[in-house]
Amino acid sequence: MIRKTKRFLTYTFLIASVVITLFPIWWIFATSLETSRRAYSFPGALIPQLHWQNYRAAWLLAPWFRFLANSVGIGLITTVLALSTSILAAYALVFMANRWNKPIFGIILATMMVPFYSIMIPDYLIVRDLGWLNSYTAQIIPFAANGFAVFLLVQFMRTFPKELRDAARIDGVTQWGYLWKIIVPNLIPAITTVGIYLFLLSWNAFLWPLIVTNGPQVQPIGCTLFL
Amino acid sequence: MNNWSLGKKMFLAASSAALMATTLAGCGSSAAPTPVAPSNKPVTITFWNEMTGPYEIALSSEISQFHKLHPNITVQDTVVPNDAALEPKLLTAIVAQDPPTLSQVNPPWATGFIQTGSLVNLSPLINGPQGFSLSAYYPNMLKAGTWPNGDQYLMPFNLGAAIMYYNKTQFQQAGITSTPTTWQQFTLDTAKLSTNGRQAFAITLVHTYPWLAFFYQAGGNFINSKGMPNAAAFAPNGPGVKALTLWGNMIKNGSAVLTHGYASQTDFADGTSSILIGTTGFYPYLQQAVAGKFPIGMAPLPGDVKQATSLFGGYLGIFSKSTPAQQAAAFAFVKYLTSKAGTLYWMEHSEGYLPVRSDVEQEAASFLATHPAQAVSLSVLPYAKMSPKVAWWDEFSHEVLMNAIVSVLINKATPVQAMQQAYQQAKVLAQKDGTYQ
Amino acid sequence: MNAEHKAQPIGYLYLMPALIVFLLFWIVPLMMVAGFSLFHFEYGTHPTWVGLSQYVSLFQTNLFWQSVRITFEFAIAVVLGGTAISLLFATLLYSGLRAQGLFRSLFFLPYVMPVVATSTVWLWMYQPNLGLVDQLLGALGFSNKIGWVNTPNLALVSLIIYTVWLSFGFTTLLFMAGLTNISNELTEAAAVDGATAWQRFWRITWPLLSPTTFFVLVVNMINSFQAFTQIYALTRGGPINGTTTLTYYIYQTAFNYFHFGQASAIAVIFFLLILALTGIQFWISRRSVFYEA
Repeated sequence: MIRKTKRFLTYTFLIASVVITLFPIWWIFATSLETSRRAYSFPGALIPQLHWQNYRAAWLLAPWFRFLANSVGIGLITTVLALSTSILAAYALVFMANRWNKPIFGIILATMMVPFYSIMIPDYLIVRDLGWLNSYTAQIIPFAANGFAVFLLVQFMRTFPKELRDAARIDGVTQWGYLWKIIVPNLIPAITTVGIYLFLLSWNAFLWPLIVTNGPQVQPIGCTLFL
Repeated sequence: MNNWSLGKKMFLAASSAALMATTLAGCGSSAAPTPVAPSNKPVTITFWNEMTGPYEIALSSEISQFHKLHPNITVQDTVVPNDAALEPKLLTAIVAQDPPTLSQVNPPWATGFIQTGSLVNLSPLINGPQGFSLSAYYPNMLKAGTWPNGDQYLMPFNLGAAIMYYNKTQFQQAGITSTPTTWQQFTLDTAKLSTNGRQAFAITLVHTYPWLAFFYQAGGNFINSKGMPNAAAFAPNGPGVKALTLWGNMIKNGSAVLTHGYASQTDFADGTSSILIGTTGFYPYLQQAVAGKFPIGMAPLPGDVKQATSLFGGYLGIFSKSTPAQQAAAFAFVKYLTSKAGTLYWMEHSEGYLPVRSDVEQEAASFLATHPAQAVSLSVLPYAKMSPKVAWWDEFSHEVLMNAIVSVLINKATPVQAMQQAYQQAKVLAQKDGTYQ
Repeated sequence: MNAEHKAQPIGYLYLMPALIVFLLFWIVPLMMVAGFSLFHFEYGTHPTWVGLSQYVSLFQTNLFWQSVRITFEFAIAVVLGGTAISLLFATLLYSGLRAQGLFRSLFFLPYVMPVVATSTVWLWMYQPNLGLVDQLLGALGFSNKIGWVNTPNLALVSLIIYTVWLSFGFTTLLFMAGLTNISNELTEAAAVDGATAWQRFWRITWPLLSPTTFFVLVVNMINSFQAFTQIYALTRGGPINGTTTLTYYIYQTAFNYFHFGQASAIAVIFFLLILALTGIQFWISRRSVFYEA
């Protein structure tokens, strides 16, 4: 009986939290689907009305498909590249004892602490000198490795029993084979989390793409959402 | 500068969210017309601007018309969402010595660009063989692009004067037959319109220009002839304190409310407020947002010791990194945009901005008869003032002055205290940044 | 990182791709910024050497100290609030609920939405009087003319609420991943021995979860120091600079007021500050974080 009540209370609490959490998101759709004049009146805005011209008006103004395709493309390539470099780096830091590992890990962590808006101008100069202005490359390569991703993967790899690695080595498994056959398959949840994080980081970018690109050919959707 | 904002932002935000889930066939981008038999060497110029939405459409047709007249010139325009986006983009490009040929520029930014020789002085070109006469241009628009030694660096492009938009139905219901022409009447009318906990006047402070209009009406001027802070403007019995007191009292007696972002536009459109102060740039958005629910009235702002309002908008400047051929092409484009045909087309199709020259009045008459926002804005233009362009103005306006106004409106400081503090800060800024030179 | 093994130089090869990117686009630019901070550098004028004077003048600026204070207030609230909330949800969800995955994904949704879009909605909800938050407060009988983003302290609170809302789904996910690594045998054995749920959490789950907690704390702290988009979208650092954090201060100084040299000096201080804080966190973690392996 107590257990049932507890369970009921937990569910009630969780459902209430979900409703509160998701309300603002639901509201975006509710308000954008009705004419803007009613956007403020509550609870009027709670009942979505289909006024599709709001969407049409927005869509007609820009090559949305291009923006969207760019966003998805840049996001996916950045994610795959950054995941690869980060997995390799984390593996080396955890499983390959080397003298410089500690300072290297320190440098990687330090990149998380650099305020991006202060290095935007130096980064622009570097990208310009590489001849990457107005390209996908300028939006992908600077983010093709990520401090947070390395940090998270290092944390997860550390929880792997070291004995397993030693046993595998005795069986003649190479570092490369061990990484891809044992570590990566076992870290899928962590890798997925990092992957989503990396994709969203790229997806939410707005100022950097706007500064290094000139026009919808290579621009992501974030450029149009500048506040 | 760009007021095509809140509604559009929400559409875009929601659209992008929807786009994440659904894939849609997009519309192709229109190709630039191929030049017919180039008479000159082909030249391409880049043009950065922040003309989005209806303005983007109007500007693209201006560009294609220009292409027809000058088949050898290709204008590549890059549209950014607003001046908050244009400023860092332009600045980074200038630091990296990689600016566009032509860009929209706010006059206070230009002061710095001129110091570093980044902007082309237009005066020699204007007086040259391909030049044009400046006599037809509105002098107060031209002045913000002229530097103290008389050189014209910027040409006016997208400008509007601040006017009052009002809800005609609510004015009628409150028994107000004519729009207020004095501060006293403005106070009385807003109080009368503010019923049932509604505040008739929704104040927005994305920029300071709506407040500056009242400051100018009180006879104020923040900059003295040396480009330094003008002490009289900040004095306890001065115009700054007077304008702050007016707004502060209106908030205190419940006839005005401080909103955030562009919320005042939405407040006005849904009838929550009755009075909105903005430039003509508001008009296309308001028209769509109100959607015929009530008639929108437009009137000049009330006056105090004098009639005044603020002029707000963007200018065009050419960057000196470009080749002489590009500079000449960009100049031809500027000439076209501000020509009779160009400015007339811009006013009629942007539906938001004023013509930059007075010699189109006759041609504009039929348009103005049906577009009262531009008609009113044009009628107040003779006494409209552009913000000063000393190098310290941006930081003063966005930081010091904004903080002074807000601290009075949220009752953290008295108008006298706010202005005293603003004066001290203005002096520090002016010393740090220098003035015009 | 374990010293007992032989050195394996091939590891450097594994590190190479990441290091090239980090050095070229993060470390070298950071050094350039450190260089800029010693020059008076405005608009792109020819920079003039001024040594440390920009740091000195910064230390004499009220706004600088105010933004340091605001950065800390914001970070502490977001780190503590965000970590506590996500820990609560992670443990609740992990206690054997059937719809675990569904709830986890739903809480994660705010994080997936474009920040620019969700912050605009929150801005609407925060509007005085007519905004949703005030209307709800009014319906509950509270005063409902609160200028959530118009009063300096409340604007900061608004930002904190928004940021926690935005990110707790992500940290919940991290905590749940950490909980998966804790074997159920231990807690079940403790349950058999008669330990209450409360005791089981504090005696077993909490210490075993400490590597994850440490990770979440570090990441949350760095992220809240770095917060920018929501400040830009919700308050623009206002009112009266009440939400001007160091990140926003850097942006504003560099890109609105064109003082690159000064902005670089703030950036260097910012970097050193969070480097020191992270260092302290790592130092504490050595004593209190419990690694199972």
